[in-house]
Amino acid sequence: MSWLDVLRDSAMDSWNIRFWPSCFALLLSIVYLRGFRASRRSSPTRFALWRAWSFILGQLVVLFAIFSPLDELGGYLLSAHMIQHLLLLGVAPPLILLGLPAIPLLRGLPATVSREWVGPFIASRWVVRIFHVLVHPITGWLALVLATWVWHVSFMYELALVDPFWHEVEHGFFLTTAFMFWFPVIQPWPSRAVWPRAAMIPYLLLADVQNTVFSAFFAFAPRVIYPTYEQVTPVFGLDPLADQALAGAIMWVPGSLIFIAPIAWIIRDLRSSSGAAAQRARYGVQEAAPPIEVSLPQFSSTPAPRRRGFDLLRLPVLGPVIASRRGRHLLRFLMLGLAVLVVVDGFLGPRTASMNLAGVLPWTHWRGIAVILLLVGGNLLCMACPFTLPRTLAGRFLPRKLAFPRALRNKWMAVLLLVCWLWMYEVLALWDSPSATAWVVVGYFVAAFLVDAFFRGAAFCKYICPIGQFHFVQSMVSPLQVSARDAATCATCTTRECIRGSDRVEGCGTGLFVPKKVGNLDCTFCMDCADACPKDNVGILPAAPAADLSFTGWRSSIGRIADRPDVIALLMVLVFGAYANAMGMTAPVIAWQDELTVRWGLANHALVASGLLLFELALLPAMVAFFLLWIVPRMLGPAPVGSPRTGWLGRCALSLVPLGVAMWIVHYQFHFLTSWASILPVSHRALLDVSGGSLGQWLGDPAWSRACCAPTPDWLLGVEILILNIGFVVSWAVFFAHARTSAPGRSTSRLLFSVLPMTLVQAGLLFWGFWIIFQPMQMRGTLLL
Amino acid sequence: MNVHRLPRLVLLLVLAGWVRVGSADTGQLREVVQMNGLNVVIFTAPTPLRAGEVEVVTLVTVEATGRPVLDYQLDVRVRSKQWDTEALSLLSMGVPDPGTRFAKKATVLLATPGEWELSVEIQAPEFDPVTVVVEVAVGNPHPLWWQLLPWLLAAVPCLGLILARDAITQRSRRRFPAS
Ligand code: SF4
Ligand code: SF4
Repeated sequence: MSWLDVLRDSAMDSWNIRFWPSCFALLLSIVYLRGFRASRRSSPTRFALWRAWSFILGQLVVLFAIFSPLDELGGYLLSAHMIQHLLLLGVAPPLILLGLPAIPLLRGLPATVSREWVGPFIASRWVVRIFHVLVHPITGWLALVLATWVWHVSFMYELALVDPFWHEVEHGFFLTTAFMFWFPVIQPWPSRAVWPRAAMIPYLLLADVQNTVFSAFFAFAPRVIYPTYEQVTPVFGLDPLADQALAGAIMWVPGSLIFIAPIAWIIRDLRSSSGAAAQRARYGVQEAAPPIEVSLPQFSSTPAPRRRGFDLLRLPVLGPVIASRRGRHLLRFLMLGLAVLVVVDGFLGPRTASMNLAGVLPWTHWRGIAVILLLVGGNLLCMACPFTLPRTLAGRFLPRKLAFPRALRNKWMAVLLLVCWLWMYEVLALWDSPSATAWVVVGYFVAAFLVDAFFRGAAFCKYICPIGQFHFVQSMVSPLQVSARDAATCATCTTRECIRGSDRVEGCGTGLFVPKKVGNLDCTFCMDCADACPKDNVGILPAAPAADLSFTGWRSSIGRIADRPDVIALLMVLVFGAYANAMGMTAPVIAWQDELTVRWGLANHALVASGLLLFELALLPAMVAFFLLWIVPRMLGPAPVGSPRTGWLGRCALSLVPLGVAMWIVHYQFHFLTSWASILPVSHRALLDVSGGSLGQWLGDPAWSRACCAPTPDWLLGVEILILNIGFVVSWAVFFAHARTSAPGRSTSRLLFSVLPMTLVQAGLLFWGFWIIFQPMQMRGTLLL
Repeated sequence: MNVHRLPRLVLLLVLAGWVRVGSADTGQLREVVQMNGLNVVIFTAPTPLRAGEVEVVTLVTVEATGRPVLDYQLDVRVRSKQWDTEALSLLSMGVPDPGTRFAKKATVLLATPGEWELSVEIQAPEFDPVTVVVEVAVGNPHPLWWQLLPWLLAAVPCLGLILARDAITQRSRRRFPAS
């Protein structure tokens, strides 16, 4: 095999594609091209198509430099490494800048992101000043020269050779300083030149002179500069000194070309007309420049306006299913089928939970899928809830005249049941008892039927169902919600069938009036309102995720959360419940409970576990609530709206929701990802049982090894930490927004100090979460238990 | 070319690049030996070595011509000099290295800090096997929280961004009270 063959082979196969840079480049390209399309529509001459190609080519050059065999060869041959550096320093950045990236990138971002998050920064005088300093010709020139020389000092170069981290830092330096250097040369629109165009000629010439000195240093060095190459290069039959000279030549000749070629371009511009006229000709400035929309963000106390366009009900395939009554009933019957399987297997199947459908389906699979669905799709789970079928049945055959007792029209009963649920799960080990799980499912059906048989509306869902409350609260951070497609249509609507109902359909069972409805709280996604609305004005539309948590005003059928201690209690129990529930399965807590049980001479750990749960679900939230009630008004003044007593507490509870959601996701995904395969042997076993063993000859024996826990994926811990961090950041941002609304004139540093007590609580929950995920976990739902 | 198709093209190009995925970072040079007509270069990563998973990267060329040998089998055995135990490397070295053709890579577990011996065996077609023993010093592993520090601190820059945005907004409000 010749050298050429080897090179061809390696070029085909030695690509070192890395995930994150690829994702970043892809995302950047998509954003750029989206914005480029919009910019080209308003200014086709300025945004000529070749500019998009130039931007993409520039990105591909960067990717080629770091992914191609050059990257690997750079470890053995200085000449290959120099080509890589040349691409990063002199080829990719000018190509990217020729794509005039600023405006397309800005316009390509989602409007909220560019308006709320980029706009303030690019409108800031400080940021603009720093940017001007960075892209000033003197800074750019010095930065590039310094980066080139410093990173080629033997010590620094060897550091980058032996440690991938420093290698990436080196590339980062090269790219950044190269952008700074090339910026005044390309002067991408809409930036303005600080020096006359002609000054770029000595600028580039001087850069070329230093490049010549730099290259000559390598080309004529009497000895090998880098010890690694001295040893490695000879194994290719090459002389390291010759390779070093070649590296110098590469920097010298193509490197010089890179600096000299733009000079010709600049001279051509200057000769054709004056610099400004040339710019106009080049960019077609005769057309009106598209306005750069930069508005300052407002911390709003109302949710961001709903985006039009996407509507889940209008999606192909899924849309028609959930938009039609029959389709939703089909989903409920499917879930009913699963519930029946759980009940039958729970009563008749094996007693070992990990071998029984009642032990794995609800506790591993349903919960794992539920938390993700709630996060991305809103309360779709309540839509498919089989427990609503008895209500439909009762509505059809029984009069249902009674109104739900006024005293019970709140969330207290649901809070109590939620605590009972968590207690049963932990203390009575519900997850470990298929028959108890089956009884719970049966009890649920009976309770739903009885309540809905006598009372109007969806009283069971709204006031009683603990699972429903869990769904309501988790879906508060979801980006989808049931809302009116067009507010103007609702404004002129006098019949209001969405809440009153029509001859065909009842109105909203939970008393939500669609045009006044905020977020997903109390919304079961039953879509009765959509069926009832004669104007087809109800959809499942996007909303800013977690915007619901910043809303402190009046909500249809709920009122102000700050005036509802029952809703606040529900939020607190669900937040602290997330941590309590996960902590119960950590090895140190189980060991501690066992130790206390033995020390106190108790028959089982029920008393100790109950005590711990009581502390976590009642005492601790109460202590936190009293602390916040005492300190927050002192730091931030009285709450802007809502009850003077619970005004701030409502805001605090709302802002803690993302931390709770994060912990539920982390906990349930851990079980799901490590035990999802358990459904295979368990359903296999159920099939064999149903067939009386007659299917055994075809199906064989269940692979029980799969009912044991899969090894935890390497990336899981990192992702869990990330999810908890996201929960913390969103939680903190929501409370900070509440604080800003109450103290609009306070400086950022003072406001930061004012939110410290709440930050302490949030950080406490974050570190509680970190502690939990670092502990060995009880592998519930697997054969290990 | 329709500009609307460009995102799809980029996606395709990036996906096409995923055909072979691996790491080309070689690490610290440990040994260069000439034996049985072959040049064998051995690198280790990370730098410095710490107890835990360690990568042994090899580069093999023909001694006479310098032509890289691409299809050889790499086998690495590790032995702790303190414990005098021997264990096969975690990954089978016969599996072609994902991602690169010049270098092959093996991941081995050096369970404890201290002195270790890496016995690297190269079996290239048409050449006698080559075994190179490399002695390495292995340091204490970083604690788990240290390894996960970038993840643990991920919230900090986000909070910084929110605060910076707020500070800028407040400054603008003071300058233009009507906004
Ligand atoms: S959703 Fe339909 S029924 Fe309800 S107010 Fe709007 S237009 Fe009227
Ligand atoms: S009827 Fe009420 S609960 Fe059902 S989807 Fe509409 S708003 Fe939500």
